[in-house]
Amino acid sequence: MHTRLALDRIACNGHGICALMAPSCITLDRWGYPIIISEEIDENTLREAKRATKACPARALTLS
Amino acid sequence: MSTGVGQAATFAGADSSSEVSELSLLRNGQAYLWDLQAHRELYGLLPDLSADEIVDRVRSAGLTGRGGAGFPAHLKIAAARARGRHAVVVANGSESEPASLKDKALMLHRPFLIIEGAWLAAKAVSASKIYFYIHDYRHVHASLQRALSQLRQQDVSIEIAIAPNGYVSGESSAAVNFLNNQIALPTFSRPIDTGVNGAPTVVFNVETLAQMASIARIGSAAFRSLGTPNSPGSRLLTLSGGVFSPGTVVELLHPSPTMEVLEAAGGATAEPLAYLIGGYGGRFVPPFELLGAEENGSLGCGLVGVVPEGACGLNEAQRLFGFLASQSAKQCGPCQFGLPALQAKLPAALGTRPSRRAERSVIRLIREIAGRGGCSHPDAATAMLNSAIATFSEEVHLHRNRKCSAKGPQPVFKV
Repeated sequence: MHTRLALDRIACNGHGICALMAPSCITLDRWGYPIIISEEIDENTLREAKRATKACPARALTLS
Repeated sequence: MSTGVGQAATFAGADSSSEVSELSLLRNGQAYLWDLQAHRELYGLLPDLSADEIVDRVRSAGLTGRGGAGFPAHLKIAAARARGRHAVVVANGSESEPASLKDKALMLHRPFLIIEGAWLAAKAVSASKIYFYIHDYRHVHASLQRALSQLRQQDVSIEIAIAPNGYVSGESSAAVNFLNNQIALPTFSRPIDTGVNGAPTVVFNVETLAQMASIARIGSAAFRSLGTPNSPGSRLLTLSGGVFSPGTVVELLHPSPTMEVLEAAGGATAEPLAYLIGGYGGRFVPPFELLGAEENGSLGCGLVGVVPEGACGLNEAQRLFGFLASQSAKQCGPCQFGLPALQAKLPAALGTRPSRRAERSVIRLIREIAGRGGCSHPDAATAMLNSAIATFSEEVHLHRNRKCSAKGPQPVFKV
């Protein structure tokens, strides 16, 4: 069972906290909006991805 | 035949052989049918099909969506049926492509056919509610209302909703968002999952629905005798740009290498340099690729625009891109900020004094924006730009030598 990181781009307001919380999963573009490096989350990145999902003020990230 | 929707929209019969005309959607472009009697005389009664029969016919006909995405209609129906709940049908007539007129023309000239198609779709997904989602065109609205007052069906109620203008307002999730919240902007949730009032919702383009009513009458084999194996059935096209009567709507029965379909609009005003297909958010293709697009059904919303000799394809593309950038819903950062940033770089990259540096940053920006919106608006805008750069590569070289081939009437495509 793979875990996937999904981004609701419409909800996202570009706070950018996700990239601080999960630097190995997410970077920011020049406008401060997230670029998901890989939607597939493995055991190495799961902790980070969970942290980013929790920290997002716009609730734009989901793990499934 | 004038439609009263800005430009004159004419229905032109593409093929006059009577055998084919009996199978076509428009039955050779006969006049306005806003009287139920006249409609029934031309088309006959709608056969009484069960839900399963409707699904079977639509599936074996291979009907694909005519709004732009070309999604197989039976899959949409199957997805709604799999939800096991009463669904809602949205008949999407909110044709938002500026040059496209085929849906408006169809709603004006064949309103009964669309209503019948909406019934069939409603029966297939056991819906008791149908919404017509249209823009505020007085004549279109009146045509539908007049038809609805003559043609009623028990246990299905039909309502007309008037959408605000805006390029992205016709997107299927935007239609649902408007019906729920009066906000005609795309959403992250899909209509099939959370649609109108939370019910699974199927959004069909009005031509797709009319084709369903046609399939119910002529059968799927006859439907497949038109079009090609990869793109079954006829389809409506809006002919635009460098033709003598831009805004002509024609039914394409069979793709033909001689492009006689353009004759319906009086022919091209000059030798076509390229075609713009599928709308302003579509793509430019060199002339020899048009036939393949017709055969594969990759015509998007059915807009076929001629870029005539004497026009500069790069200037046209820049203007269209500017329009698309202005039409961002401004919900997603890469679209809201990316499209204007890209637009600002275009004159320095594609103008007649291009710099390599600006060209490189345009290419970088395109990569940064594509695929990063909640809907496909930024993808469509950047794909259109990419197609222009590829199709008008000779013009790119001319511009690098500070020349431009623009000399005919400008602009070809109005925004």
